[in-house]
Amino acid sequence: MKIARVLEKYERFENNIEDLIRYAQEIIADLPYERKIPSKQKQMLLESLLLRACALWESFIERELIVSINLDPSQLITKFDLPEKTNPNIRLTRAIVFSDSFRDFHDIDRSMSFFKEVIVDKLNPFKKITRIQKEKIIFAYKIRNYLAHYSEFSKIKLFRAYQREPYKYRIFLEPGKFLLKQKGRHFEELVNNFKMASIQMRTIFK
Amino acid sequence: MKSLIEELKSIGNSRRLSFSDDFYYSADEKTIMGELPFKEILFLDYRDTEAGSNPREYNGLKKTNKSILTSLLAHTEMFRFLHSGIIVSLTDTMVSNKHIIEYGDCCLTNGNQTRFLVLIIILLKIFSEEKSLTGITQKEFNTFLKSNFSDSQKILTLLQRVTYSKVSQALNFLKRNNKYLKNFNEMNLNSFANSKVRIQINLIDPILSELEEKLDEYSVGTLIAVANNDTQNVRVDDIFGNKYKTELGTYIFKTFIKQKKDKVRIEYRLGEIIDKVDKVHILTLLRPIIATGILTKEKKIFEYTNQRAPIYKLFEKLLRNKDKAIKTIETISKLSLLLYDIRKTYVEPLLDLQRKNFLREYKGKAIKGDLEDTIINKQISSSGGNEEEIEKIIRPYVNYNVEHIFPVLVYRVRKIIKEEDSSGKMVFPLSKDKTPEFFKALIEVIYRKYIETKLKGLPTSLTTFVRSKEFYEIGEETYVALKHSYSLEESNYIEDNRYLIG
Repeated sequence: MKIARVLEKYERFENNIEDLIRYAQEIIADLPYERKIPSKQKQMLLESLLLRACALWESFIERELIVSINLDPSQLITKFDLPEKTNPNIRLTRAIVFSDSFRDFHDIDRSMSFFKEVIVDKLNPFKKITRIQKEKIIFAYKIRNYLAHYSEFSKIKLFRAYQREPYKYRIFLEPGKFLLKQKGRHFEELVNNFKMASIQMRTIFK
Repeated sequence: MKSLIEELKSIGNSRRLSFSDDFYYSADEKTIMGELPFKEILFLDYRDTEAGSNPREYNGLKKTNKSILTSLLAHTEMFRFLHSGIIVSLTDTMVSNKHIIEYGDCCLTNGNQTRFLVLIIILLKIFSEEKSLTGITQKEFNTFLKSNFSDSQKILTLLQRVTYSKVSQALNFLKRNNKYLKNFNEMNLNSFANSKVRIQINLIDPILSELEEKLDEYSVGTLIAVANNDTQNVRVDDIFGNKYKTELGTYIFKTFIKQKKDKVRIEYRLGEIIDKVDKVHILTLLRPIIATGILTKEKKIFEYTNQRAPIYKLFEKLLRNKDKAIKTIETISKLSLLLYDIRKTYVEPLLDLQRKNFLREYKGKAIKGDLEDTIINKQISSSGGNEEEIEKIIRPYVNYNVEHIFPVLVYRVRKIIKEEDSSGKMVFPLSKDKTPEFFKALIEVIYRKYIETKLKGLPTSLTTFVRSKEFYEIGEETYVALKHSYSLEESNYIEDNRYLIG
């Protein structure tokens, strides 16, 4: 796959994320020419949009993982003990990567160590993700997990994250409330972080 | 303490000035000069009375006011020799003896800052006699005012001007300056309230009776108040707004006032409306009118962007020629309402959202390396990809001044503004569901160019750029495209109602 086409996919993902943020911000802003929306509804909407952003992120990194491997499959061949002459196309690469076990990309740390094993270093866009971006992704996924399960375990995990820097909350906040704070600043920061990570990742192709 | 408060209230509610000694009364009965105890000046009216209107509100502990405060605290006895004194205009005066003047209306034309400082000191002193000033809260202070002065509407109205923020400025000053805090703590309230200040009184009725020019009491009082403040640092806005309040309300903002009633109040002097209501300053309403070109030649439109004094001069001339320009004034009256609504409904919220969008966009561009040909390239490179740093670098370039962008937008759309045949109301002829998209597109293109020009590095200042023809030409193509896609027609409405002044 040509680099230009790879970059197009990055751009598409970034635009999708940008659309989510703009939509949310218009709703939050209570524009005078729009119908005013109660806070509770805004909170529900922000929670859904965060879930959607996580889904977009996962599908994006799944695709980029395959594309990055495909640009130079040598590391994949070693990892999976494939014949040296294997020249997999995108579909075959996908089949190989997902054949041995179920993989999800909820845990960025675990994902990144896997990416390191299968993508050659100079083409590994994931290593460009900064520490702060990674921390924000981890935090966004704590919210995502709580929203997906409402389990006590996920609640405790999220509460612990709230208690740490930079938020330092003493009480637990439902995610919608948290995301709506300061005219949606937390929402913007967390969701835009996916976009910024993508922008950072594509600098590997410079 | 109660007796002092009662005495202060009784003085404040009376329409009488009691002098410490005999005063000077000029032979033509137009001037009185003498010395008054501080307690006599605490609640003197200063705005919008029959005796005139002082253009200056109390403006807090600025440099000069700090000197007055320190002088009051450290040299109370000497104060009348150190301070030039206060000036007051009075109407319907009656001088029964050389100690007392009774009057109808009063306007404190000079010395308003001093009066408020004296009042703040006295209020704080009274408060401190009952409770500690350490940790005083807004709620406590307001309760104190209410419980002591709520039986006098006149005094309460004036006390509304002594906002908690102004009081805490003085309090913080004392906390930071031990010397003056000691003076304050050791001060005897009664002797402070009886300390003297010199006063000159202009007796409006005798002055008026011999004037050839036909003026009323308010105009003479205001004339004196404005002149008294001319040599001081008074905002041009306050002088203009104060002087032309009646005419502006009657002619220029007629439609606005009729339509908005009390929902949005016009502020003729900055800070005069302290109630929690929506307010708009006169300049916000007057500035966009210029961009329509109804009063000036094209090149002056650009030149007047974000200006104050020349705009006031223009409207001053217009009001002077109101008989000839009545059609234009009526159009302006309608225009100011329409442009205000456009600004509030579409422009301000959309600009605010767009700023957030641009901040994200340019942050991304910085990381991608797309800002290499801008003046912040070096700073961005040295930020080492730190997002927070990058945001700090970019923010000032993405920030905007609505007074820069709104006039260009008005200039762009002015030809499609028209009068509705049926109602005579001025309208933007696009349906409500399409209008946001229309303005959004135009705002984005003007704003983007504004940012990119700043990022490229301005050959001169930003002010020069926003007053250039080049800046006003931004968005022309987008405007034409929008005009066609929404089938909008231009009209000569503004041109037909033009009255060229500048």
